[in-house]
This record gives sequence, structure tokens and C-alpha cells, in this order.
Amino acid sequence: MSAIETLSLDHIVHGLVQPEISAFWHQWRDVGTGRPGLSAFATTIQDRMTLSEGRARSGFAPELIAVGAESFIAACYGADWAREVALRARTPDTGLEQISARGYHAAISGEPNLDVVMTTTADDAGRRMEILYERLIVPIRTAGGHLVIGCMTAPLKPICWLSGPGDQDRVDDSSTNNHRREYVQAPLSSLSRSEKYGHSPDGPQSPC
Amino acid sequence: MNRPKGNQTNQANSGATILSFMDDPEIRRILDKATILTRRERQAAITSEIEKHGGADVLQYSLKSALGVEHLHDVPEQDFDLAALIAWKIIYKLRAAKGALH
Repeated sequence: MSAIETLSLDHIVHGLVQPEISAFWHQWRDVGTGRPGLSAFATTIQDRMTLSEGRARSGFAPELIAVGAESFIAACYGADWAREVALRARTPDTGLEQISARGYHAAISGEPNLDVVMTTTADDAGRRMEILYERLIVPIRTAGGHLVIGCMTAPLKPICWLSGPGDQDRVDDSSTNNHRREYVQAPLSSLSRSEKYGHSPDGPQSPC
Repeated sequence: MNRPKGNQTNQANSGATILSFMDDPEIRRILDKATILTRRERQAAITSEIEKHGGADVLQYSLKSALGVEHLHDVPEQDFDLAALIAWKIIYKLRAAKGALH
């Protein structure tokens, strides 16, 4: 089972989002007043964001151009996948791309989009995981004037690795609100990658 | 001049990364060119196309994300085939969109 809840951008203004989302938003908002395009984003933001094409088929997310090495999606699907994403252009989960397409299409039409996403997905090796994250998608003009789509995802709980491909989804509809009460507004730099995103599927299991 | 010796060399340099995409005709074409051009020539061709289509910052971001370097000339030899593939993929996207990614 998957659920996507679109949030008002006021959540950012009122400080109710994860630090990555807030930092991404403020840098994006300031793009018009500083350096153009992608170079306006600090390295710490670039490393955590993803970049997609500025166009997409109806009902689908746009093709990926690049994935930051420290992004949540890289933690989910693995460093090798992230490194090769320019060649693949897609995540291993077409279904997730379809259900998350609306936010991308909003950004393509010029509107920033803030969501909370709860879903299960699987990496290329078939290892299934349960994830809950915030996602801010924004349109970006590159220095060359092209439209691309930037996306920042921030986990609301560590990745929960499920034991195998036969597992059933253990998330119910009420989980999003429950987890939202447990936000930790820690500084972006204060958490290590494993603390923030959960352990690898081969390591200790994260609490679900 | 640093001249690649052929597809086998190119595959070996980038290992499984490239092998796993060898069934993509577009990627085959890119790697076939690598057998007859030097790195310097490939780099010059990419730079020219990227500049023509205004994709410099996209390439810079993509290289940094994938390989940890921002410029083609900083890409280690063993990663250059992957860098070239990333660059040509971006160029093809720009071309397909008539010079824009939208």
C-alpha cells in the first residue's frame, strides 16, 4: 500500500519540514537573486538532491539525469544504481514513479510541490523496503536556460528493510500522521548517513 | 596521446557499469566511437556539443554526482568511459528536446 499526501508550502515557512527540505527550499527561492541555475545550490544540497528532465509522459515521472551520492534515493537503491542513473534514467520501481508523478508534473508546470510519501519499494536485487519521506520538487532553470526538475527527499524514519520478496506491506494509512508527530529537527550536518537513512539491508535491521 | 584499444578495453576500464548497458544501441554507438578516437578527441567533441546546447552545469552536476569530479579533464582514466556515456546521454536529451530539456 502506498500513500502520498500533498502538503501546503506553508509547512516550510512554519518550520514543520525536515532540515534538508527547508534548506533546499530557501536556496531555490534565492536562485533568482544570485548565481544562475544549479550552481546556486550549495554542495551539501546538491549531494542530497536529484535532477530530472523538465518533461515527462503523462502519468510518469520524468527521466532521471543525476542522483546525488548522499541522497535518500541513493540510500534506498544503492550507490551503484545512483552512479549509473544517467544511463538507466529510471528507478527500479516503475509503480512508485507512476504514483509519484503528479508532483513532478506540478513542478514541470512551474509549481513547487511538497509531499509526504509512504510506500514499499525494492532495489535492483529485489530487496524490499518500507520508506516514509518528505519530498520537495521544484523547477530549476539551468545556466543554459533549460528547465530541469530538482527533488529533495528527506526520510521521516529510517529505511525499514523487509526480509524478502514475499513480504506483505506492513504499513497502514494512519502511519503518515503518526510519524509526522515524531519529526526530529536535527541540524543537517549532525546526523551520519547511516543514522539518518537506516542501515544497509546486510547490516543490522532498522526498527519498522 | 592516450588512445583506447577497443571495446574490450573500454569495458574492462569501467567494469560492470558498462557491461550492464551494452545492449543499449545508443551506448554501443558511443563506445564504438571510443575505439577510433583518443580521449582528448572524445573530450573535445563532448565539450563542443555540451557548449552548443548550453548543458555545462547539467554535465558538471552529473559528473559530480556519479564520479565526484566536476570536469571531464579531471575524470580518472578508468572512469572516462562512464563519464563519456553520461555526457552523451545528456547531449542526446538536449538534442531530442531541440536544445532544451523541456
